[in-house]
Parts: sequence; C-alpha cells; structure tokens
Amino acid sequence: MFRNQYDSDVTVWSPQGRLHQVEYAMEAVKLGAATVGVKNKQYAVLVALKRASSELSAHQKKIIPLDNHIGMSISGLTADARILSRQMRSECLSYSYSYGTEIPIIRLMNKISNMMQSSTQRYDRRPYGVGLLVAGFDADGPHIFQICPSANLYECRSMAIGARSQSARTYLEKHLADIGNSGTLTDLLKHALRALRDSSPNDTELSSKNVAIAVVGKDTPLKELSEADTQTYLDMILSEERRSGDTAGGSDDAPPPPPPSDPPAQDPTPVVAMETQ
Amino acid sequence: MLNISDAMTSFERNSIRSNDSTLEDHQVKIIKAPDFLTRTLYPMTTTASVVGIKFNNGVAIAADVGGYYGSLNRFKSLDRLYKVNNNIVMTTTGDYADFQYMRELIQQKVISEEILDDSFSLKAFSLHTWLTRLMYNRRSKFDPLWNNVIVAGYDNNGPFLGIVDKLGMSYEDSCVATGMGGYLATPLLRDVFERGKGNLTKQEAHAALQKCMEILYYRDTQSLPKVNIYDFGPWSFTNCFNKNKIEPFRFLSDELYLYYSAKQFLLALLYLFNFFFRQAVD
Repeated sequence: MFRNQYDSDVTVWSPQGRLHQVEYAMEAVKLGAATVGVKNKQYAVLVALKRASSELSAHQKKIIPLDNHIGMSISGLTADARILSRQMRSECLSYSYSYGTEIPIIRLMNKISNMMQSSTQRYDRRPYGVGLLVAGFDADGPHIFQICPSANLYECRSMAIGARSQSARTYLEKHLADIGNSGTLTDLLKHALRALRDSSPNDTELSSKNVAIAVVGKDTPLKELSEADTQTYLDMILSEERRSGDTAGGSDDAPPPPPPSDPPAQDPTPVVAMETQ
Repeated sequence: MLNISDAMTSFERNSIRSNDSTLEDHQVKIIKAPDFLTRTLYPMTTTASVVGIKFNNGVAIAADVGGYYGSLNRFKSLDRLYKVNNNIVMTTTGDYADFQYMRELIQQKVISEEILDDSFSLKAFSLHTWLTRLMYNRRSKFDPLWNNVIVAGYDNNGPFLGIVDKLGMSYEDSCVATGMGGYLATPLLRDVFERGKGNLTKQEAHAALQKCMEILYYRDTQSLPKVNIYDFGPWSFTNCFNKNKIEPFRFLSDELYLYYSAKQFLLALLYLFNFFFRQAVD
C-alpha cells in the first residue's frame, strides 16, 4: 500500500515533521459511515447513517449513550469505540458518585482525549481508529465535540465525520447561522438530516432503519429516537428535492490522498524542518 | 572494606540473642513487631458546636474560636470557618487536626480545579457529596475522621446548608447544628425558622445564630464567647471580592457593655477634641 520509509512505527517522525501512522489512523475515520452533530441554543443533536454488514444482518449501532446528558456517535473502528465508551461511561459514573452532579462535558472530553493521546506517543501501542462526535448538555448549555484518532479535540457548532462527510460539512457551513438560531428541535433535526442525506451514498435512501437520531438538551435527558419518531422527521425532509451536493462533496470518498510523499533517500534539510526562513 | 566478623560481634553483643541462652548459635530470636496500626480512638484538640441557618436569600453559619484539650480551653483563636471558594464555606466540630487535614485535601482539589480553567467551579452541593464519600470511606476503614462537617454555600440553585457526620451520614436542612448544638440549638433555630415561615431576613438569621452561640456558651461551657459568622447570598458572587466574613462578636454582660461603650465614647470625644485642638493650633 502506501509504503514509505517513515511509517514503520507510531513513534517515527518523517523529516517533514509528520507521524504517518497517526495519519493512517485518521483515514480509518473516513471508512465509517457518516455522522452529523449539530446544536442550537437548547439542544444538541446527533444523527448517523447506519450500515448493515450484509442483507442478513441488522444495522450496526452508531450512537452510544454515555450518561443522562452525554451521548456520542462514532465513525471508524466500532471495536475501538467500545473501549472508549466503556472508559467514558465509567468516568461519568465516578464523577456523579463523587460529586452528586453530572460531569461537565469539557472535563470528560479532556480526560478521554488525554487518554487517546498517550497511545500516539508509545511504540507499543496504536492510535484509536475511531472518530467521535460527542453531544452533551451541561451548565454551559449544549455542546458538540469532535475527537480524532490523533487525539485532537475540537468544540464545534456543527460537525460531520465519516465517509463522504465533506458534503455534509458543506451543507453545515452554508447554513451555520440558520442552524445555530433554529428555534425548534424539529428545525434543528431537519438541518441535521439534510446534511446527513448529502453524505449518504447515491444508491442509499435514508430510512428509519439506517438512520439513528439522538437528542439531548435543556430539561431533555439524552434519548435515541424510536424508528417511528425517526420516520416522522425523515418524512419532513424526504419530500424535499435532494440537493445536488454530490459533485461538491464526496472528495473524501475517493481513495485516500496519495501517500505522503516524503523524499525517501534525501537527508532532511534543517532549513525546511525548522520552518524558518 | 567492612570487617564482617567485627560487625557480627558487635551485633551479637547488643542483640537480645546474646542474652538468650535458650537459643542455639545459629538461631536468631525474632521479635514480632507490635501492631503499629492504631486508629483514632478519641479526638485530641477539639472544637465546639457549629450552627447554621438559611434565610430569605442566603445562608449563614457561626462557630466560636476555641480549641480544647478535653475541657481545658487550650487555644483561644482557632479560625475554623474555611472559605473554600467564593461560594462555599465549610467547617467542622471535633478533632481540629482532622479538620486541618480535610482543609488541605479540599484546598488541593480547588487548586487542581482552577488549573483546568474550564469555568466550572466546585458547588456547595458537590463538596457536600464529596465529603460524604470521604467520611464514609474513612469509617469503612475503621479509621474515621473525627469530625462533624457543615457545608454552607450559595450558587445558582440558591442557598445550600448540609451536614456530614463522622460515619458518613449526611443530610441537607434549613437549620443545622453539630455537637452539643444538635441538642441545644436546633430546636431554637427551627423555632425561629418556622415562626419566620422560612423567610427570615439576614438580620433575624444573624440574631438567631448569636442567641444560639450565647446559649451554647452558657450551657455547653465548651465554647468561647467569641464567634465568627460567615454568610452567603447572591451578593457573594455578584462581587467576588466581597468578604463574606462578618466581624467576630462577643457576648458581654450589661455592665461590661456599658463600660466598653462608655470607654469608646470617651475615646471618641478625646479624638475629636484632639482633632479640633490641632486644627486650632495649625
């Protein structure tokens, strides 16, 4: 595959200052089905496109509840996400046992991203191959966080990760102000589903089987909607014309970017490496 | 180089082995160490009752400044109302050293939390829960911290007043008191609270606390007539530099009160006289 001289270990730097193993892990996120997180002033919402491994199997779960006020949606290696969610759930529980209140989202995020970081700095471990979108509500209001395998943590107003998620992000960027100011939960959910539809493969229609929706907000504990409820929201947007976002997006549906082209045999030149002129 | 045989000789000379004729040459008598782990069986330096009461938009607690060896008043100015952050004050009845230990623990928590710099700060309710866990954990090791704790504070959820005993039993109430105050002060505070229909003014609350501390001074006889009061209300976090601590007050007999008032009055006169005199000279 993308062999190059400097990707033998997580701990190996390329002369350009890149960690190729970590970048490969970032590619794993783009293999998972798309998922979108949006928020307004009261609610944070996650929607996800679920895949079934075969006609015979059920759709794989994409949204994992962590606590009464936090849920996350995943893209990438589901097995890695399971380990992370177990850790996060236990953090939530131990916090509420000690302090009698729900953990602030940012505290949980910092804990878990620090944990994920350690595996990008040790030769005997590998980065987690999963991207997380975390939605939560605390004293500061609703939050959407994104965590990458590189252990970068971003707080977002809206975000989409996973396969073809560029199309969803394009939609979200275009409607950013609208989404943030959307007055009702229904409006917010419609935006999220439209964004998700832009990311769904051409041969796939959104249905209550392959879409998962979770809502959390003010006086609203985290809840994943039932198939019937999902269908009612889907009906609102499926009647609309499908946006022609296919050409705009899908850039990351193409095979992953060409392997980082490090000049293999050259000695690194300090002037370039130091980034000084 | 160390001379091993010399060392051995001196060891044998000094050890019990050389005096013990029942042992063979190659044997060493092993003395089992006594059980070093002893738990607190009684407190050493103790402090007296704490009383607290909620009022219409705040909460106030009071404690005296005495430290005792049994019934001996050993220390006369132990300030044990610990201001945890701008919204919480915490204090204990019982072993003063254990109080200091808890204060260290809490201080470290507060510092660690400030380092996170995430705009969240400890709430009175959370501290109360945490102290409950701490106390229960220590009693489950059969090594309790010998204190009853009172936590008072004010935040977005309004005033908070809670109590934890040394076994980890805890509750919230609108009137709390520890130690002898539990018997002498709670009925008084509840009476005041109920007659005020749970809507006392700050002044009424302070007066009730002062009355309780006075009664404890005369009846419990294990407290000093010098008392610190802290109170919290919406004002404490609108202005975080506000000092929540009220100046200490003393109970005085009427004669003493007259004496002090007269003295103060005379001093004031003297000061004024001096002031005008100087003006005149200038």
